[in-house]
Amino acid sequence: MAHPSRSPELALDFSVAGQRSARRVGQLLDALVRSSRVQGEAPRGAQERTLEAWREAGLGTLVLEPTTLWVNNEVALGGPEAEVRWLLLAFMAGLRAITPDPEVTTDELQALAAELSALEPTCASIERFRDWLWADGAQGFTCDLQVSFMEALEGVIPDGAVLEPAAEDPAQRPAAVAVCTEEVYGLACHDLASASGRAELSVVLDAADPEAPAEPCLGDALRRELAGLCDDPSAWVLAETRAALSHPPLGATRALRQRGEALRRALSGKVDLAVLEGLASNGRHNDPTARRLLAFLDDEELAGRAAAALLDAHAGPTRLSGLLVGTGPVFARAFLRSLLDRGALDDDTATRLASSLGLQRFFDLLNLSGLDLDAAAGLLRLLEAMEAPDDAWARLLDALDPAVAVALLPSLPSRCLRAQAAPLVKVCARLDPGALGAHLLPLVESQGPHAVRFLGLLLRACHGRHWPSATLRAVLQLLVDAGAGSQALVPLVHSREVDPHTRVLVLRYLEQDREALLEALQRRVSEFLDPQEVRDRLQSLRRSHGVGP
Amino acid sequence: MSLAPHGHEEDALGLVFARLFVAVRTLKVHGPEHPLTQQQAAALTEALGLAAPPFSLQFVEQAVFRDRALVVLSPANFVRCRWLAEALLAAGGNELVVERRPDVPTALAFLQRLEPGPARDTERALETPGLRLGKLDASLGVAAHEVDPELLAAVQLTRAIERAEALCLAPEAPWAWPQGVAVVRRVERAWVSPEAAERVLETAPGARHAARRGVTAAFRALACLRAVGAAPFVQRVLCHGALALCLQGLGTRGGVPLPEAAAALLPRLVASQDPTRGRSDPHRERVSALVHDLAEPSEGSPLAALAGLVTLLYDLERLRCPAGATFDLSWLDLLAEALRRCPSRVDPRWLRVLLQTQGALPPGARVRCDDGREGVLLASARADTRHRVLVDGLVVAPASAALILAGDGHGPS
Repeated sequence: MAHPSRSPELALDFSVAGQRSARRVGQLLDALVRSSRVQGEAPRGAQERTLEAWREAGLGTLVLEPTTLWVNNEVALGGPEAEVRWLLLAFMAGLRAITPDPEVTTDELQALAAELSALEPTCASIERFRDWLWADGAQGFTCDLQVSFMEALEGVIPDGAVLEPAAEDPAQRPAAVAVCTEEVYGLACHDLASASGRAELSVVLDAADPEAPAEPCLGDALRRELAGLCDDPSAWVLAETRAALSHPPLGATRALRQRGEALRRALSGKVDLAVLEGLASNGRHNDPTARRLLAFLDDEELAGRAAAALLDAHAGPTRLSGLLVGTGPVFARAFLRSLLDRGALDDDTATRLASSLGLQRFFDLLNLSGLDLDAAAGLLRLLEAMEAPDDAWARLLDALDPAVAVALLPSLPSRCLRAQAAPLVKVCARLDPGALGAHLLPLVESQGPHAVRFLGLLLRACHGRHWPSATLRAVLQLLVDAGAGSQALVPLVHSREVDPHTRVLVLRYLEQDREALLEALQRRVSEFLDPQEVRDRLQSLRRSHGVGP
Repeated sequence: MSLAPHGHEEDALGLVFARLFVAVRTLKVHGPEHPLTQQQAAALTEALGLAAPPFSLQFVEQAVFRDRALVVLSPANFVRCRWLAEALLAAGGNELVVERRPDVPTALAFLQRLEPGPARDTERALETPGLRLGKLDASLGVAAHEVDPELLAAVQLTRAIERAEALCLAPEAPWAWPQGVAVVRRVERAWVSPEAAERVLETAPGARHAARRGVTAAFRALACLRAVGAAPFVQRVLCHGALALCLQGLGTRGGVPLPEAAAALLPRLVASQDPTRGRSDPHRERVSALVHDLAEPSEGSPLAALAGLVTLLYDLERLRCPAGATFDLSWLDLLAEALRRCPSRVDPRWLRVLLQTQGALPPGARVRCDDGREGVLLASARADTRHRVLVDGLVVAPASAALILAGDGHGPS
């Protein structure tokens, strides 16, 4: 056909290009069908080339004639002399046109090619192909399906086995004939007349409006409402998924990617907890299909809505934990975060969730660095309730926001300080001393001797650097009062990493503990490298306390 | 003379068409006396003999049937058959009856009559011995070349019920999807005349076995969903679901409750894996999802609305044949009962739709015609038909009819 154009030459070019494009589509499709027939499934490359060629032809509609295939009004395949067997058989089945959807995939193209390749020149095969088309089997395509050749006959020739107008005795006529004549009215009118007086036929259906006339009608609003409910694609995909969760073979026929994307679209509207929980449950049991579907649902926004839905349904910890295990990492993290933000993680719930997940997984899911003090304190209580292993405390503090970690120190249990002092010291040593200082003394108040020991270790680890003066003095006094001068303070005097002023300050406090002071005053070779300030103070103290030259 | 299920492959007929085509061409080029023409005519008679007469060929639309069974042709023979069909149509017929193997002169005479030429006496067209041209009997067709829609609808439903009966023979076997689909397609095709379909289903004498009730429920599902404008895939899924549930649950008078029927049906749907159905089977998934929803109803079910329609139709069919009784309830009895159950046990929305499918006025209602006469409504007006009202024993078709409401002075006595 001529292509509209500005010049004949250009028209010719367009026409030739169009013909080539159409031919290419037809030949590749035919090759795909033949290859599918021989090998069962065509090579992936062939599928992709066919689809690519079709896209270049603008995904034009394939129009089927008995011996010719057309694309964009150009002959794609066949012709009077060609022998494309599957084309005629598909035409006999009633197929007249195939239009690919814009998002058609190679899998869907291969499925169509496979069905075309399976066509045999028998009525049963043609009917089977027609059944497949009629039942929406050609996913990714819109098919124009008209009556098949077999059905066409029934529309032209009355079926003699059912209708035998030659029979004279009406009683011998098949029942179907009788109802198509006026005689039926004699049978029906008796029942109809007796029923017409029924009071029930005057009953108003709309219970909300008893004054409405008793005339059943289908208004536009109701029609639209019901049509919307019928054709809601989300409802269907959710129902299919629910059924497939209970009976896995039902879900085996649809391409997973297609199902996953449909599911994601469906759940973007309304959360279906039964589907989510079912998938998560199957995922926990290592169902590969469920896991792959959950990958499509690994979405923060969905997780938030799922959390809200579960909380609205007053779901307990068991149900809550169900959506934490088995779901994708993004979903699980966002779900837990959502529970936290909504205040749903009370101690009991959090303990049970952490128990079912495992503590490490629980922490991994929580964005620990983003927790506030209350939430972090809740986690401390969780660790205590779970009798968490000793290293959990240090890991928790290490992961928290430094300001939160500092503020949590007074809440640390004594056994933690005792057992995990060294790791905790390492963690605390990285914290802001200015902020740290405000919480150290309360730590002692709450934890007693263990806290004092901890402070000594901390002071040594930090070298007292940048500690606020008041805090430093208070801690030094505490350590001296606790008799920890020798363990905690003497090393500070000898350490060149400690600020000279601080070393001098420490010596002053050590004067309250003679034994510790004498230990600090012992001469050392490395003393010659100490700052003058420190050496002078040591000399002065040696003279005043009668320590040898 | 029913359609053979598997049709005929072209084999011997292909040879007939091929030789016929060559013979006509040879005749046209060389004339009837040429030895080549005689040779081709002899070859044609041989081919006709090999095709085992007597037989008849019907040319319908673009198809050819042998004794009303489809002949599956190769593309080359398809083209030849089109030519032959056109030639026969020009000669005044679309059915060729071969009574016996013709001799060569008869064959030549037949070939000559197929040539285009001056108008012939169509009544004597192609009256060669042993070869007879006729016209297919499409009685009372709307366009005079097809079956009357009411007859077609009646045939389709009768065939659908027969197929459904076959499905009932194995109540515990995996569900036979191809047969189920075949039933639903015939129900769809019966929509060519909904009124006739209604009459066949409701007033035809005969037992109300599960197959008939299943087809009835399927047809009503189709009617309701067409009334609301649902997509074709929804119509088909619900038809199939309603059919399968009725066949499963209404095997005895009284039947079983719908959830029980659905629970029994679901494993059959799951178990059936037809290897010829291909990898993609959305229809099966959707029907199974619907039945699953009915078997295991849950809060927030996505198909709750559609389940309401299936529940309504199933319960009506279940009520039709009460357990312990020898009589069946009429359709109007069932509608009245549904009205009584509304809205607590019946979704009023679907009941409205169901009544709407009976026409804007329910059948059996007392109506007043535009000329003032009163009668009983038999069938409501459609797009291209009028109301049919029974007035004093006569069926009339008034331009309009109004419902006579209860309490109206002209109401029923």
